Amino acid sequence: MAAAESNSAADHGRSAAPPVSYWRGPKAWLMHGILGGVGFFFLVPLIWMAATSLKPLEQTMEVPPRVLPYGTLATLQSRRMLVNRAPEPIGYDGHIVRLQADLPGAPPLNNQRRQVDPASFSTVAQPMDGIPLPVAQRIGPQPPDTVGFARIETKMDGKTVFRWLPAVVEHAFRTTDYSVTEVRAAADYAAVTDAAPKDAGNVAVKPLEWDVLPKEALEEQIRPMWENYPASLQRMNFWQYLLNTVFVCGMTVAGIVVSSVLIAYAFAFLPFPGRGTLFIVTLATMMIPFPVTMIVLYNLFRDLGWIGSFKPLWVPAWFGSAFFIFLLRQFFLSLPKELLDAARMDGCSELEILWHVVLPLSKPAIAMVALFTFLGCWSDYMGPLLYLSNKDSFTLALGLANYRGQHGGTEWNLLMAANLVFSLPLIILFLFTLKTFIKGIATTGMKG
Amino acid sequence: MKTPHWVLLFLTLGVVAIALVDDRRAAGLPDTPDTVHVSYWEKWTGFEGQAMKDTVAAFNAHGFKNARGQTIVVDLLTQSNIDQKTIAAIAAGNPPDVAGLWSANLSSYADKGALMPLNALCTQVGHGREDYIPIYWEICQYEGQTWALPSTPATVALYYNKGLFKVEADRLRAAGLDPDRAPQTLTELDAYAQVLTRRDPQTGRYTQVGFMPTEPGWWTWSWGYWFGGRLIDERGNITATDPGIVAAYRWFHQIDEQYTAEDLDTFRSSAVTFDSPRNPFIEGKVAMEIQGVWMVNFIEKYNPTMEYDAVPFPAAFDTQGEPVVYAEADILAIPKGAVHPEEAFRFIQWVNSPEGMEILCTGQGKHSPLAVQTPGFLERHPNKLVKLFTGLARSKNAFSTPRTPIWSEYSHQLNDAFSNVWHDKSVRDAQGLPYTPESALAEVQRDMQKRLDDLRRRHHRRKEQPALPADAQPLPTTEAAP
Amino acid sequence: MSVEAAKRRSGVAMVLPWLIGLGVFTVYPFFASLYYSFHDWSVFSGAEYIGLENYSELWSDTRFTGALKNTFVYALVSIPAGVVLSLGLAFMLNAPIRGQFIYRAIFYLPHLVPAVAAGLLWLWVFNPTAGLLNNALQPFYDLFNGAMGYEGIESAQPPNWLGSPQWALWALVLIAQWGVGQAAVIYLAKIQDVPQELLESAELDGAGAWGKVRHVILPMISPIILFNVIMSIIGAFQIFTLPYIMTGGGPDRSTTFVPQFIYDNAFSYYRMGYACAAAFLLFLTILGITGLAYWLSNRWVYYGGR
Repeated sequence: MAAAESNSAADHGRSAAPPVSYWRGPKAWLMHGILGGVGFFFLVPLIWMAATSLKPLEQTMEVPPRVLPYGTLATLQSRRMLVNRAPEPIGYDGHIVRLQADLPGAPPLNNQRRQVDPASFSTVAQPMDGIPLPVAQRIGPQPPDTVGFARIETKMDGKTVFRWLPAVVEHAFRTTDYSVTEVRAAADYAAVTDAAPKDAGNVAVKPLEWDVLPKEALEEQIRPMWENYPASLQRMNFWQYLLNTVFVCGMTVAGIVVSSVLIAYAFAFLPFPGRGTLFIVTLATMMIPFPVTMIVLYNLFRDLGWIGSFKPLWVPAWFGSAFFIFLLRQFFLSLPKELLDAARMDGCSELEILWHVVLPLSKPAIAMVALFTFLGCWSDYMGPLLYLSNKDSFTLALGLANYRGQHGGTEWNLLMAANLVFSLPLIILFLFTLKTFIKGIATTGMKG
Repeated sequence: MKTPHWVLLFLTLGVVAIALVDDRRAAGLPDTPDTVHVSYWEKWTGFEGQAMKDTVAAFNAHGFKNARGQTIVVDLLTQSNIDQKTIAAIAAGNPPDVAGLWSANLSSYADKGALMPLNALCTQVGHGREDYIPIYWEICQYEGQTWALPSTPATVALYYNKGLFKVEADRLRAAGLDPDRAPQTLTELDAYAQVLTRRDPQTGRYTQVGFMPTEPGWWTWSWGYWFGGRLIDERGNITATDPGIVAAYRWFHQIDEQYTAEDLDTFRSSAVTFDSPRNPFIEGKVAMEIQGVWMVNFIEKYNPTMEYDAVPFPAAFDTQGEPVVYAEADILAIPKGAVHPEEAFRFIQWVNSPEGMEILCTGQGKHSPLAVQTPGFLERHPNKLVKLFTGLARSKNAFSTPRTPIWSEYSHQLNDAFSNVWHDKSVRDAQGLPYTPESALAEVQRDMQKRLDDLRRRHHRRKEQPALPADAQPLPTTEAAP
Repeated sequence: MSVEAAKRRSGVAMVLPWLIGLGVFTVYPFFASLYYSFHDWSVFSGAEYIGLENYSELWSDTRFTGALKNTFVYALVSIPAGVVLSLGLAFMLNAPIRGQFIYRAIFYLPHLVPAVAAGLLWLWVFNPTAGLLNNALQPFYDLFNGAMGYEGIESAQPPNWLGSPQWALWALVLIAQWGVGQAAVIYLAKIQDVPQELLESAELDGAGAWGKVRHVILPMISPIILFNVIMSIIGAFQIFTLPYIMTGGGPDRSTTFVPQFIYDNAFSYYRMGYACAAAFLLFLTILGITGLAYWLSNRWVYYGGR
């Protein structure tokens, strides 16, 4: 194993000779075909993720699925509107519902209002001054977090049916976009996007418009549902988690880089007593799986009172990491020794040599260490799972895992949107650092 | 000093400074001469969490003072994975003052000595058994001590979709069943379920299911009680092979044989979250299910036109008018090592007054665990089935999670045994390794009794008070009043 | 030699953090873990020495042996499959056609998706009714059912992957193969490092394409294959996040691996001594398997050459 490693590390900097001549003609096309085909299989789950994230909820469970996201349009009173299809409850099969005061035979609207869970909204204005109102007062038409229901009767297939339909206190929704999200979260009936006029000053209670339409009146159109993204991020407390993750990863990357550079420098150039033994021990510790040390570490951090803080996640980084020490040492050893000796002749201290001579030459190696540390930290799940408890101090990985329905079942469109946003930084980082990356992986055989 | 030395120095100082700032201990805000901050960890989120926040706000608005005249302020912090985190915090000597735990874990906590017994404090303020619906007081007892007081209670019942019964009326009548009422015996439940279950004629997949024990599948261990079984005996020994428990597992086995459990699982996997309009029961895809008092909130929220009702879940034996019902509660406990136990108890006590409890239970849409409610509480209550669930809690056949220190493992093992029996048909077809209800439960019985014996043996060896003395008589659960 | 002395001093100073880190975060937990594995140790009670009781209990604990078996099956299937697949990809990526870097990026991309995200994504792909995979398989099943005349309850349907005790483990093996691009990229770099002269002289000796692969390229890259196999073994035996997120170890414990067994015992049942013993057995297993892989490697790994 050691032989393999030193082989691979010693290869650093050697780039493969570019192929002299490209294949042409059918041979090349065949290869493109094969690679493209296999590549498609690798990509297709990611495409599926992106496609799902843009669908309305009712489309996610559609069988057979369609890749592209479709919005449902209806023409109502010669206005074309985007509507949300109802989940087709009994008696309304294949119809959407739209509320209309002047439906033939309908009684006058009875705007009975009910309190609805504010947490089910994706965008809820806090009650005044952030002080929760006493329960009794929150029942009733209290903008901005109230949804009312109106009883509406209509004739369908010869029989009279009625149902309570959501009506929204308009004041709560300042833009048309919000009204869609909110109504969807509140009740999965037909929501009409452009039914709410934009004048925000109007505090009047006006029910949204609903109708019962035959299937033929509906028309589908490709329409990515971008609203899923803000809704999903809001729901999972994304920005707070991002902040936490950036803090933890920033401290971890800085810690690993600073400590590992110092330590690797000592291992490479400074013959302190016991260096050989310590180096072998260092290599040996890479074989110890995390579950072995996890339990004692947990108890250690608990006794230090660190559980719940980010410290168990980033403080150890400042004391070095065996793998990166090894990696940097191998890299340092490949630097020309004469430069160091010359600096030493000039009376530079070791720290100065490290700072002025070694660091400038090692930028690619250090970038690689930083990159891989960041990847590992961003993706880490087990550490945060063990050490973080307060919901506000979750990292993204933990928050995302927690975001899935706790009781089975999931709103897949929102989950996939969050998933994509979570993975995207790594993919973008990868695309920007493609060369360093591929070379880094190739020269180190490193796990990303 | 030269550049790199400066850099290193500042870096070190910076890191130490950040480490000092990065500290989120449980102990809430520091006390001042005027106020005491009680830190309170709770698990609820969503509207249920909001109800708790309202309750805390109402408590804080009262401005109660402690013995030294300081105002008590409760700070609520929402925690995930609250059981593990509370244990860790207690072990680290840094616990919150109040922890909102699940009562199912009470015995495990009490057994570890992680909680403060509340007997003395309860006696002081004259708070006791007679203040509660009996089962909810029992829930807070273990080994003769009171370890917590309830916050919100729950009971479960059989919800059924009346509308769907009407749609399927003809088929129900053809099978000799009354579409205008819910099943009243377990045999009837199976008969209704069979009629109400439909498959797609082409693919054979389920499109509608009458009843399945895995929807929502939250208490698979509990079914044995409806067959007259018990999971532990009076001495705390494991009784996983109790005839009633075995009968329940036979029932799963028979459902698997009849419906193929794996197909039911496939059907269930198309569900969206419980808390959504695509909940299979709310959507009308599952005709009957066992659910708690809270289900009304979700139905009213997502499908207010739905015609539904709930009845006591039918038992397999003659209950003499006392329905079998699972009763559980969320509890408020004071961890050992809490800094403000007195102030914490003041809060718990207030939550357990009609005023506090009714704010909380109205907000969460649940009934009250208290024996006496303020007049009109049930009438004003937003949950239209609240009377049913309150009544169920008073049943003599109400049961709660078995009080055993190894409940966490025991319940996992029971669920595994359930899963083995539940998947038996497909696994047997594929591998020829049949699981019978008897064999699966015998394994649980063997493993768990051994585990309990080990625990007791080690307790003895340590010369500590044994957690569950094998030879002791059951202790009376009444409060040791002076 | 004041320069040498100064070097030594700065050496000690610079390596000091590592001495602390190694001691506190690795060596101490490692030996403490070994120590506690002979003890009954829960959170509140102190540790009580019980000799080999934990180990003997593990031996007869079907949950542990089951988890160990699952871990072995997972490792023994996913690692060889991964080697074959990644080598195949590497050779294809080595073909001199334009735009190779795009394919390289595509194959590498899945490896970047964090385990949590990959788990959730595959949960969705494997969803038995609305998932991508089963909907892709459905036409084949329909064809089969049509040909056999099966209908309704008789008809064959695609499996309920993660919900089925027979399939869940294989679903995880499949997901592991999604990440083989990383190994492929490593192998590719090594393949491209094979000296041109060697290939040319092999050609002169009359070796065809397969001959070159068999007798020149594979021996030349065998050290990195070994390295990768060993890293994969260590990784496979530590698998936690994917099964924990996707199945929680179920159904029927068919995807409970040793790390989750340790986690459950330590943090759900607070049997920390017992969990330490299981962790140590895991460590010994990894040591044994990598040792075996290393020992077997004498037969196929080629260290000569350059």
